[in-house]
Amino acid sequence: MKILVIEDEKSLVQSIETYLSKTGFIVESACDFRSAYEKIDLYSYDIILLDITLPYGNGLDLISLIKEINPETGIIIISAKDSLDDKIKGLDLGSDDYLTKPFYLSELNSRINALIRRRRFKGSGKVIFNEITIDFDEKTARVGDEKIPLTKKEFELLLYFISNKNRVVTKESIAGHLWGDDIDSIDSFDFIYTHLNNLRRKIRQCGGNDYVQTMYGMGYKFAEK
Amino acid sequence: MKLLRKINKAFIAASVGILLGGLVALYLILSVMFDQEIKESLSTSEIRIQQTLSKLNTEFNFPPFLEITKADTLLPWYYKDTLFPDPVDGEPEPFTGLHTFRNINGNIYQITVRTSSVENEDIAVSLFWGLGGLLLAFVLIIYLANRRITVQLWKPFYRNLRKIKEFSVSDDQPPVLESSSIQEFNQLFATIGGLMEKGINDYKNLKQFTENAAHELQTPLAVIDSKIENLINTGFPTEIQMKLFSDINREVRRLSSLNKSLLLLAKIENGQFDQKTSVDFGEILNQQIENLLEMAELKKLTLTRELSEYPVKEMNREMAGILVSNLLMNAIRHTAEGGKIHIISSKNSIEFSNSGLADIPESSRLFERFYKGEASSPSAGLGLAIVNSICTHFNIKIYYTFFEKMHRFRLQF
Repeated sequence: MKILVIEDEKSLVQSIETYLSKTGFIVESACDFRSAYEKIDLYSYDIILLDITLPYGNGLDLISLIKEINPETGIIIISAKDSLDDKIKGLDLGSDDYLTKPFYLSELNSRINALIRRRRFKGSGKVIFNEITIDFDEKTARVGDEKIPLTKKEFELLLYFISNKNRVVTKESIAGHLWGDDIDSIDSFDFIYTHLNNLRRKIRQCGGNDYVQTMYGMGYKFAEK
Repeated sequence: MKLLRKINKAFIAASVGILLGGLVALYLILSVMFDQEIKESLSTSEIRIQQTLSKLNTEFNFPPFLEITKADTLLPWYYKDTLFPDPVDGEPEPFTGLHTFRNINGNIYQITVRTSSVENEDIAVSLFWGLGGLLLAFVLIIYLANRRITVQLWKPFYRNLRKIKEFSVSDDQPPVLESSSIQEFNQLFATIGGLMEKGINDYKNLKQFTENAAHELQTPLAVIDSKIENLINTGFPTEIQMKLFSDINREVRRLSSLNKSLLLLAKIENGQFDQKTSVDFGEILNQQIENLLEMAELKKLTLTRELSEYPVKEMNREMAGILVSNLLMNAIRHTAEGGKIHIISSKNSIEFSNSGLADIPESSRLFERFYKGEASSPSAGLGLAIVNSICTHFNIKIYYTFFEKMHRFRLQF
C-alpha cells in the first residue's frame, strides 16, 4: 500500500512516515504544491494525505488534480484549520475524509484503513486477527464461528485495536475515536475503562484470547503476548 | 447644567436687570421731565396772570386753577401739590400749584396758579407700562428665538452623541457622524470619528492576533503529540520511561485542549460563526442527550427531560450544538455518582439542573475564563467561558442558581 503525504511541516511528515511504515505502508512525501504536483503526475498512490494549507498554492486545487489523474486514489485532508467551509469544499471536490491537527497517529491509521476498506472492498470483506474475525458486511465480530454480542461502541473499539495492532494506543486517542474530539478526554477515561472491560470479558466468554495489554499510564496495546 | 440653560440664565438675568433698571430710570426721568414741564407752564401762566392783574387791577378767581388773594407781606414763592375733588365722580385729583407773591400797583397779592397733574401722571404710568410691555415682549421674543435656534443647532450634536454612546469597539464600522454648521462641533466629531476607527482596528488586530497565535500553536503541539506516539512504540520502554511519557502526554493533552478552547473562543469573538439558520433546539437537545446518555449511565446518573416545548432561534447551528453539549457535559461531569440530571425547556428557555451538595462559591465569576468552581477539577475551566461567549454573541441570557440542592443553569431566549 503506497501512501503520499503532502505536508510542509517536516517533523510532522517524519512522525507520520515513522508510524505508518511500522504499520506496513510504503510512505512517500512532498512538502510543497509544486513537488506534490510532480509526484501525483508521475506516480500513483493508494492513499494521499493532503494538507490544504500548503505554501505556493491552495491544497484544495490538488484534489481536483488527483481526481483527474487517478480517481481511484483515496484522499484524506489534514489541516490545522477547523474550518467547516474547507471541510465542505474538500468533500465536495472529492476528498474522502478530513482530519484536524493535532490528530493521533493511531486515529490517522484507523482512518486510512477504513478508507482502504471502503475503496478497495467497497466496505465489505473481513479483517482477521488470529481467532477473531471482523465481518464488515454483517458488522459483526466473531471468535471462530461464535458471534460476540458487542455494542456499537465495543465493536468500534475492537476494530480500532485491530487496525492499530502491535502499537500502543493512548487512552486519549481511543476517547477521540469513540466520542469525537469535542469531548474533553479527561472526562472519558472511566468510560473507556468500562467499555474495554466489557469487551475483554465478552471475547473471553466466547473463547477468545485477551490480546489487550495495559501500557502503564499511556494506554493499551492489542498484540500477541 | 446644560449649556442652553446656562446661556439662557445669564441672558435672562441680564435682560431682566437691564429691563428693570431701564424702566426705573425711564420712570424717574419722565417724572422729572413732567415735573419740569408743569412748573414751566405754571410759571408762564403766572406771568400772564400777573400782567392781566396789573392791567385790570381787580382780583379774579377761577378755582382751582387760579386764585388771587390779598396778602400782607411778600413771601418767597413756592410750589405745592394739592388734591381737589373731581366734579363728576368726586374723586380727589392731584394738582400742582405755584404760589407767587407780587406787588402790583401798590398792593401785595398772592397769586396761585394750578394745573392738573393727573394727565401727566397717567401719561407717565402709561408710558411706563407701554414701554415696559414692549421691552418685555422684545426680551421674550429674543429669548424664544434664541432657544429655538440653539435647539436646532444642538439637534445634530445630540444625534451624534447617541451614535457615539451606542458605539462599541466590536462593531464592524464606526458610525457616520453628522456634520454641523458649527466649526467646533465638526472638529470634535472628526477627532472622535478618528478615535472610534482606531479603536475598531486595534481591537480587530488584537482579536486576529489571538486567533493567529492559537492557530500557530496547534502545529507544534501536533508534532509533540506525534513524537510521543512514536516514542511509546519504539523499543521496549521501561516502566519509569512509560510513566514519564505518560506525564508528558498528559500535560501536552492539557495544552492542546486549552489551546483548542482558546481558539474556539477567539473565533467566536471574531465572528467566524456568524452564519445563521433557524435552529430547532428541541432537535439539538435530543441529539446531544443521545450522544452523552452513555456517559450519564456509566456514572449511574438519572437523566430526565421535559422537552415538549422548546425554543427555535436564528443562530449558528454549530454554536448551538456546542452550547448545549458544553452545558450537558458540565452537568454530567459535576454530578456525583448516582445523582440526577434534569433538562426542561419551554418556548423561550432551557434549564439544565444537576444534583449537588452546595452552591458554587463566587458564582458571579462562573463564566469567566479559567475560573473553576472547585480548584481540584481537572478541566481547564474554559467550558463555561465558551458557553458565555456563545450566549453573548447570539443574545441569549444565562443564569446560575442553586436551589433545592440542584445546580441550575438557565438559558433565556
